[in-house]
Amino acid sequence: MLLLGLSFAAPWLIGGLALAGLPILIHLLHRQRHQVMEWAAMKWLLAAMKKNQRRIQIQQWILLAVRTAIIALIVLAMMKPVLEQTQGLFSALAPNKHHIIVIDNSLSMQFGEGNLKRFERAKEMADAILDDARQGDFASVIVMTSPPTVLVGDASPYLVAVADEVDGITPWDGTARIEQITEPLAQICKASPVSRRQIYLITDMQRSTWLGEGDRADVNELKRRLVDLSEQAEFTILDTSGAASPNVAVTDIHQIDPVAIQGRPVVIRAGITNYSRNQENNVTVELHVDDQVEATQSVSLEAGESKFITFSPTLTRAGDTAIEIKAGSDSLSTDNSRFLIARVRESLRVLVIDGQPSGEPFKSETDYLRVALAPVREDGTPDFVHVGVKLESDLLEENLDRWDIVVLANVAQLTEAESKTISDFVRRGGGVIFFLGSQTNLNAFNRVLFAEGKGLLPVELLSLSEEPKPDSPGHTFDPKGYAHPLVADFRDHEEAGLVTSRIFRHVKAKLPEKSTAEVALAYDTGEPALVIANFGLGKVGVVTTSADLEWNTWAISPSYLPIMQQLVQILAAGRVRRDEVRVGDPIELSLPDGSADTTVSFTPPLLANAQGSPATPTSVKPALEKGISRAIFTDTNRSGIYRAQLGPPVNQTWDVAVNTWPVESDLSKLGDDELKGTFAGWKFRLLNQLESDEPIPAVSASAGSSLHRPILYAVLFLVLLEPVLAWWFGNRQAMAKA
Amino acid sequence: MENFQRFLDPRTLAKVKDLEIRARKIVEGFVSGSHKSPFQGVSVEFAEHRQYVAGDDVRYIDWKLYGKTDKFFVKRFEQETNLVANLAIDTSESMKYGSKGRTKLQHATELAATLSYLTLSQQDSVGAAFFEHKLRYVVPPSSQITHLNQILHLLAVCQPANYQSRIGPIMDELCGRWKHRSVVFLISDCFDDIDSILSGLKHLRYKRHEVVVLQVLDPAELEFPFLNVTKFEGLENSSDLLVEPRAIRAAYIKEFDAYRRALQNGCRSMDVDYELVRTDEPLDRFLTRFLSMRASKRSTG
Repeated sequence: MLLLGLSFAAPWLIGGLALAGLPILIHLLHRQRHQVMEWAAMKWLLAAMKKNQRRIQIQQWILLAVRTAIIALIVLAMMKPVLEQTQGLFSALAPNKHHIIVIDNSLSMQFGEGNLKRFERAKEMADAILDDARQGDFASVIVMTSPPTVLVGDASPYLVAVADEVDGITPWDGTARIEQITEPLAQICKASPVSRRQIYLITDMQRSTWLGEGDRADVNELKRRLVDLSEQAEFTILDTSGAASPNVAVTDIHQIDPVAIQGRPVVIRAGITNYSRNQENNVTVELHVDDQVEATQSVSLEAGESKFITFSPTLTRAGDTAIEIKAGSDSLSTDNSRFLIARVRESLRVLVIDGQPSGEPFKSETDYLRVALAPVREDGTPDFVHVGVKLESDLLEENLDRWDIVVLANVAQLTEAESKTISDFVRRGGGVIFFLGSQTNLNAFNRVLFAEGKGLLPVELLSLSEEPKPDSPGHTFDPKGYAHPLVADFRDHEEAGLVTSRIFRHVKAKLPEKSTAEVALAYDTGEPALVIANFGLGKVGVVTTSADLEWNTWAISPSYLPIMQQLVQILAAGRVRRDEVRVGDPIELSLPDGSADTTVSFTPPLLANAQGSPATPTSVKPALEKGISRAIFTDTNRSGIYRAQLGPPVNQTWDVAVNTWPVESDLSKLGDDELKGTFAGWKFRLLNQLESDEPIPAVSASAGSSLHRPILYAVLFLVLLEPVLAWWFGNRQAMAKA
Repeated sequence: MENFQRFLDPRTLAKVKDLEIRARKIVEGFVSGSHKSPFQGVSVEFAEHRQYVAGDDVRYIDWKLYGKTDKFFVKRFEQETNLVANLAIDTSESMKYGSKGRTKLQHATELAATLSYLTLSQQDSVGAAFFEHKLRYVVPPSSQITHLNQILHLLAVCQPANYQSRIGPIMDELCGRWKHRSVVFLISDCFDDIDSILSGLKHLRYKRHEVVVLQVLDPAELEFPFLNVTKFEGLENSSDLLVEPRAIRAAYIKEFDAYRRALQNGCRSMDVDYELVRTDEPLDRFLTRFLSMRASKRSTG
């Protein structure tokens, strides 16, 4: 309801204005219910009346007007009027205002084409608000990156400069969360120089922006903050979303094989999700390798359905290879691609430290292991694992960064220096495997490597198992339901020898409380046989029996070779895989030993900025952390392939894939009713600009000022004024006379 | 005579007795032992001789003593009371107003009875006249104590008439009836044209009467203390008026005070004593104040 430039939140209360006639009615009734009295001194009463009749009438009218106005204004305040037009008289009377503009520039805001993109619309709305602001008004701007960017924090009276800042806002491919803007908004309101404030939240009302993971406690906390905010400023939400539209996104990309080997097929799995309300048929999914289309498939998806598609490209070039999956051609193009860096290796390099060497064939501790890791193919070519066997004494002489995995087989003990060298190697992404044996000094291992749970060793070594009797069959492995990927392929393949291998001796070990280590294989006694744990960026594995036949028959079992090969691939993940980074998360690179003085130059994806000009590299100086050089790059605003150029003396180029958050691809909205229900008590106005098809400049005008509070102040003033006036009119002459 | 017959009514007689008792009680409250009249009479008693000096009234030269001594002596006299008091009592319709159960007429009759009793108890003469727009009863002055009963009877039975008072013409008429010098007490609310009132008083003064105006007013007429909306029905044929009293109070008091001031000033210009008699003030207190004021005036005058 619009009346005299005012709109009303409760227009149905307009009938209450009839109550304003109550004082007049009471006045008339009062006159009707008068008392009657005989009076002698009538002559002087008539004279007084004749001289003062006009004045008395005016005074009565004033009192009646005040009493009528009190009731009328109370009803008006209950109708919650909002000043819709800041022009003319109202404009001159209204105090200065602080316009606090919050712009959602998250991935979902990129939906649309050209100027019809939600984000471009949002900027136009912000410009319109600033254009419509009056001279003397203030403005602040927050951009809903994660965490939010306070573009103009202090209330700025320079609205043109603020508009320039708004024009410079670029989209980012990350998420937006409402709860993240409450704190900066509260601070801006607190520092605001004026009491009249208006928050304009320009967003596409994406559900995830408001509810996140939907945790009730979080929602209640957000509600409390929003209610607090609405006490400090009026809240207007400008919805830029428009009508619902289809969106298909690549929501997952994964290299199934632990290691990508040059010249060998590597399995890439892509997840495609249809976020539309309708079925999407024959969606073309493309696999790009180094920007070249390698393979194409098509997939049909029901509404809301996700499907996985696998590609098996053969990567012919060693080094970082960019893999991109593209699917669909909808109006949100950014999430139609997802990236992966395959670190293609010619081979895996495994350093084996033999704790019990021997000159005779297959008498050394690591002979079986060496064969298992690098079997010679039928055609005589070496397998993808290159094994180097060294003695314990050579450990400190080796540059471990040349190796992907270090295996310590039946090593008696490690010195503090050796332990530190190996630990730093693992922290930087390397892998280490401990095979225990008859020479292992349990106490020394516990003291130096376990270090009460803080060291490299993920288990505490308790004792050796009992010495078996001559006719004892020994123990067997318990694959623990084949749950771990290491042994998953052995399910239903008992002939492969995993569960038939005999273990005569082992070291009893125990995982500390709250350990995150995984027991991939156990003994039939329940004690852990093979434990894998993360340590820094690398992984560490512990096999609590021997690598040779001294304590078991596993080394000659058919299961030994595939498990060892799988194990080194898993443990080498820190060296041959680079974790996916999501937009907004930092890229953390652990540099090789000796890189402390190098400089890493990060280049964002091409066409990352709005103008499409080549992206500018950013130099980062690595920081030393626990003896490891780490380079951290935080400006991951766009999805794509980021290139890290490591300067001298390393002189390497690493690529990192930065991908979007799948939650941003779900464009489902939070409706007005649901918003009010979820955040009950929060006072806001939701304007759907696109659906209502109003011109943009009307946005700021409609985001008017609520008048109920000033009206209530006026009521309070009149309530205080009425008795003063009544007293004044009744006693003024008497006072004057006195 | 017909009117006097109603005095034989037992209730009227009770009223008369009651009025007499109340008047006596009031007077006895402040008159005890010998006293000098506060009012100047015409009878004198010789006191002493004094040698004549130029300017003395030759009428008071003692010619017999001149014959004996061949010197002029004048006689000096001790004044003694031989007062003639005439009471003019207003019984117009406006006198029936009373805000607290006591009308102005009730208060006026009690005042008149008290003054009558006081005068007669000093062996002075007292007369009375009852009027509204015309003279109703006139009782000639007499110093007989039995005369009091006649006045008290009239005071007890007098009722306010449905007429407006016309004080000026009435005073003119009374000037013709009261041939001898006297003290005239006008007991009225004086709700009349002020020029007419002053004209009547002037006539009395011309006839060498000493005049005392005792204006009997109700406190409500002075203070106008009403709060609620009231329809005032005018007495003495004036119109009605519905007003919000709080709104008009100040203006009314201003008008009424102006009228009273004009009356007071008019009285003062003619050497007429003016006293306000509030009906909420006990009569003994009023008379004490009034008589003291008279005595003081006499001693200084």
